[in-house]
Amino acid sequence: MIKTYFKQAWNIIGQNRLFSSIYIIGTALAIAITMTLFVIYYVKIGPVYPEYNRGRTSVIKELLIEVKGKNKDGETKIFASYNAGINRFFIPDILEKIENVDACTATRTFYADDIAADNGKSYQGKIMVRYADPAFWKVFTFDFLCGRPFMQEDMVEPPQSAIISSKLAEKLFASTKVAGREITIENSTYKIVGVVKSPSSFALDSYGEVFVPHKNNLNTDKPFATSTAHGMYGIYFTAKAGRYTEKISEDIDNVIKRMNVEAEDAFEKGLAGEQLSQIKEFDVKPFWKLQLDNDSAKGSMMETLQRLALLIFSLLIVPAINLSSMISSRMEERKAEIGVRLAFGATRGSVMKQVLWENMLLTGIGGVVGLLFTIVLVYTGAEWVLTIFDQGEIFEVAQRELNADMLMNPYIFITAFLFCMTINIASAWLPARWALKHSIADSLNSKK
Amino acid sequence: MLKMILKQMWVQRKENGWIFLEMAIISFFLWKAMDPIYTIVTMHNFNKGFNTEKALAIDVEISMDEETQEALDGVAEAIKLNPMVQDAAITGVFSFPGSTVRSLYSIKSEQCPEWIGMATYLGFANYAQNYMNIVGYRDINTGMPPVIDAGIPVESICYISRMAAAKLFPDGSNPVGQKVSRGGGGSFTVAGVIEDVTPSFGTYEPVIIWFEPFLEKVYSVNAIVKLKENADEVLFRKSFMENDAAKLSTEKCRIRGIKSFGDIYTENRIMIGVDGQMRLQYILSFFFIACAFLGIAGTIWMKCNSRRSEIGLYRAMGSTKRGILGMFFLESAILVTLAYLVALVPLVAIILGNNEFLYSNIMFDLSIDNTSPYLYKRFLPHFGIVSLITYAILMGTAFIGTYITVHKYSNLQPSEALREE
Repeated sequence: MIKTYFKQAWNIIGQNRLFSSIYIIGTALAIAITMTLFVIYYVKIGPVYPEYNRGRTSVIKELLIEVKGKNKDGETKIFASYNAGINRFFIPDILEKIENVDACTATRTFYADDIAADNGKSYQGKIMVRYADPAFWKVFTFDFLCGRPFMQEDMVEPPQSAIISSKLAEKLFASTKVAGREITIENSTYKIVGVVKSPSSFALDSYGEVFVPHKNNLNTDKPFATSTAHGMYGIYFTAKAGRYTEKISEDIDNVIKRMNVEAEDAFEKGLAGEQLSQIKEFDVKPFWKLQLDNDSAKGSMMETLQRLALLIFSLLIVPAINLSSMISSRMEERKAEIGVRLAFGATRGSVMKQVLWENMLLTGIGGVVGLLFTIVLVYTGAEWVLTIFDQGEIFEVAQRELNADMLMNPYIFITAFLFCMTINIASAWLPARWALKHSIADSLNSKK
Repeated sequence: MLKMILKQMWVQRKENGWIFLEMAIISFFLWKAMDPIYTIVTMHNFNKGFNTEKALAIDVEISMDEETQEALDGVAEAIKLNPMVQDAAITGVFSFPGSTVRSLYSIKSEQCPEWIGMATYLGFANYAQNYMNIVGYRDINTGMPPVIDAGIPVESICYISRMAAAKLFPDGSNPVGQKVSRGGGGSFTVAGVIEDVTPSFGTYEPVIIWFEPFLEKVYSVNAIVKLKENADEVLFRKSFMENDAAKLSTEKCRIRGIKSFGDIYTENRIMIGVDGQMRLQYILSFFFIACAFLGIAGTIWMKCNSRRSEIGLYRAMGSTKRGILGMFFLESAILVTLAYLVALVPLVAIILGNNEFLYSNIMFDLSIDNTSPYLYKRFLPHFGIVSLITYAILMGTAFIGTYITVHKYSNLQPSEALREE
């Protein structure tokens, strides 16, 4: 029976080319744009290489410090408040002492203008260099094509080890088996201890072409205290059993509160100079929440979700009404045909099934066209499309590339496709049901 | 003819109901997509109030000690000796309009005892005049960079923007020579009023500039440079980074990079999400226009198909192709106009209800200010312009969709159209 429905549907598509084209293009457009939205957010919050641990990773990117002092009358007044990155000593001094933290890393990046290899070759142009430590490779799960991650013995001053990406290794040495070779960045020479499969620059929290151990900055790298809490790092950590973030956050909060009280006591007793620094805002956020917060100018995940919901609604409702309108007109046209079928004993259910199967076939074709369009759009215009919702980041590497696993994810396509299929079927069902309400005589009379 | 078309539309109200609903929803969302485009394009064309031409900022990392100032002076003097350079100064990091960093201070005056938040720029006292010249602030009286009186200690003076002057001295008195106080301590004498500047992309806000002898608690500063008119900016940047940067870098200060004011302004635009928003709104506009086209073309095609015999009769009675096209055009126009008017009702309600234009996920001040000199801030001009643009786009799309489908049917011979009768 289904075969017959498909045969009929196929014939109808051939007979009504304009109708079918409009239907297919409308469906393809809706599916393509919805799917693109899904891809954008999958790349932002889904488990993609090398950030497979995103689901259990929490992030602390900045904290707010309030500076107080006494005025001429001896009253304590707020002088200023600053929001900035974090001192990396937060990890040994606080985070490593908290229960249920699995691995924690402090990382930041800088841009190097050129890199020279020991074979005389060099790479000209901006390249992102990332500071990392041994725990970095536990939080972010890179594939090592050769060599090993950093170990404690690499954390010396000045840093002498480096891990590079496979793409850079190919450019400089025409090989990825280059552990033991040397590279020079800004007059410092590093021995390569490992080569990792190149990450995509859209996984921005772990992206780098070169990874080097932390280098001490005399201005900011000091033991963690309320007055030295600021630094240039972002902190990433994974929770042991996956869902302990809230408890960990609460534990960190307690430590910070204690530090604030101790700082205030010392200030009041005149033991801590003329200024009192206290940590006022301090957010431990799950990785996915931070991304959604960042996509809102107001910094609110709820606002991002509301905006996305409205966007998806507007992208689906308009084509759905368009389809309903066209199907309604088509049903009017086919009233006589339906009347004949009903007169020869067909049930209203079987006629409805036929209409829905026709619709499914057209939606299927529209879905495939939409899928192909999405792949072409996202792959060729990755930088243009995937950064639509980005705020607050300036990425200076010339070319941003997408990894295949970010785009060719069957779950994204199936979810977006089912979403659109449901809407399309609903948009066909209503007008078809209305059309089938007519009596057989009415239907037969329509083409008198 | 109009009466007849309206009658026909009423008879076919069921079919027309769908397309009417679709066009009303499309009108609503298309207006919503066009509004940020209009706002952003308008803001992009603002007079920025400062001069980005041939101005560059060199990023200098410094260590925090007393010898650093001497080292920085050496850097500035060395840069000034470059034959391509007209002027150079040291300033707080990104402490000029259009940059990606913005400091805010609370300021008040005797006439305005309420603290007013103001975008604040900080220059080094040694380079106060150079700073004013390089950034290209414009004095409201002369239209040129303010000239600082050499006899006055620059640490005690400040310059305020026209908007800041209006807020701090609401009685309209001349601010020059009057005192303003800073939150957290300190007061300044107003030395001059400058034209409003846009501290961040597209936003005018009160601005204050003052000068300090040395910047405490900073890890980096900018050396800002104005090139001579005939100097090649690209060449200067390349030669500076290749030849001078390493020579000028010392233990106390390290040169990290150089960017033009224009590039920094663009980065600021990207950072606050303007470019991404524009792309999103373009995609959405394209989507809704495509949907409007498909909706109109599909509906009119269906109508033409079911009214073949009617078209044949018109043709048999002497109607021209143009006449038939005109009839369908009018029908589309009525549909689009009615749907559009319906869509405007919730839009007006939302905008006036919130007293601000539609939020576009950018931290712009979108509140309605009917006294503002800028058209985009006033309700009627803003709403009128966006509504006209959106209406024109919808009508154009409807006409194209109608023409493509009706054109074929208007060519029908009467005998062919009436064959089935």
